[in-house]
Amino acid sequence: MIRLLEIRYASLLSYCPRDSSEKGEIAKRVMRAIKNESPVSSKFGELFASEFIAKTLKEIIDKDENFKDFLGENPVLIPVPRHSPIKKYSLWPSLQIAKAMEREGIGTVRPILERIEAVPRSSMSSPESRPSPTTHYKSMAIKRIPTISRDVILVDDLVTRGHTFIASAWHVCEAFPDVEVRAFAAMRTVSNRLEFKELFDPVIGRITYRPEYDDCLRRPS
Amino acid sequence: MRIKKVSPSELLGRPLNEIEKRYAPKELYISGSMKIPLPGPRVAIVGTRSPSEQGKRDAMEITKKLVEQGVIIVSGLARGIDTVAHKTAIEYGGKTIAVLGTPLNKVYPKENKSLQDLIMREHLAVTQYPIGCITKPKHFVLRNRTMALLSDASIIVEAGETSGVISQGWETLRLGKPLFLWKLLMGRDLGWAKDMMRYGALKLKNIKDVDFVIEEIFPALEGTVDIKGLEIKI
Repeated sequence: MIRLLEIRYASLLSYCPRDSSEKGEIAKRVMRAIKNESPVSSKFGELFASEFIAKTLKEIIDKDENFKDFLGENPVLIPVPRHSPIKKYSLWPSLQIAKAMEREGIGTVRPILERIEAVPRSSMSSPESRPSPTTHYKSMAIKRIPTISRDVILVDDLVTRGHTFIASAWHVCEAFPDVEVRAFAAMRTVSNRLEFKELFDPVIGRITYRPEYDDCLRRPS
Repeated sequence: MRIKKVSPSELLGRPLNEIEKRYAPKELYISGSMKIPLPGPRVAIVGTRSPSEQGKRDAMEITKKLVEQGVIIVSGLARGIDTVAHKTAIEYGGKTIAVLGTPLNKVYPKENKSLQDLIMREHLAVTQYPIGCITKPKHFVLRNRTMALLSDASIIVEAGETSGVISQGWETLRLGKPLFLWKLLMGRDLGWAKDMMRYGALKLKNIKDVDFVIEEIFPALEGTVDIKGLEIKI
């Protein structure tokens, strides 16, 4: 098992579960739209949440060198699995986002990671009993494909601590040791209400694994 | 009885995504006084036609708690748990939606005629079957899928190994919506309940756990989320 200790991540939007201000409520509604692949009406018109995310990301790449460098040239987009196995034709928001990114010319989708065993959902667990990166790792599997020689961007709808991302990165590094893995989430959770600014809050940061606690720290939070 | 024909998209006030479209009926027939597009959040409470006394009491408690939070109760107007859910919602001043497996001018079971009449007057009855359609057993299964589509989450309170609510549970999971299994289903060695847990269904161990349902469905998603006024600052 290859245990990367750190990966770079980027996210576009933010929401705070405890913020019930008007801005906070809008952000929570957008979070629900992303999770349900519901439509969002924005300056791009009425689009499904995944398409809205991909178009916004494309606009940022075109204007911001840091985001452009982060995503790189035609990366391989690997959607992160849901918290439980899914059957065929089921909603998988990360795959929807990855496919929308592909349609915008941001990479090529390879849905090769799968969940083989359900893990408790974060929303029904206290912070200390959330599944650890090791638990996530053990509950996932990677489908072998011939080769991946380009950079990999893991794609998820929401990042909290980054446990799912780091566990997914371990699987990808094990299968393809020569690739660089980074992570993109449509939205990040801001736990501290005082740190929540607004819905649009693009950041590039790091997720650091702490072996002594079997958890992750995400910065910026 | 005034019947209106609408598409699922008109009823929900938003286009359906590709996953929802797969099993969504093309059109729906509705009767009632609820505003369209539907307000939310909406939770389906469903279960067996022959519940235990405990099952009835639990269905009542769950419904009451959700109604107190302003949740609209969706069910199938069948005998047993469905009837308890509709009646409790009405009794505690809430709103309810009945998703029928028959055309709107038919009643099944007959003993629910006055309940269906009341729902068609003051709440909302929905069906995918036009007047004149001959009712077949499979219509109730397809109705359950439609119920999953129209609800933000589903709770199965009590059911047997071959219950009709199984199709609703799987459809809820397929649509990526939260599916909750009430404690009465645990310990009964139900194969489908175990399978659903493996695919992400969540257990409700007590009435306090209904708070998790509430956390999952608020703020309500009513139609399209509008953020046109927000600027993307880079």
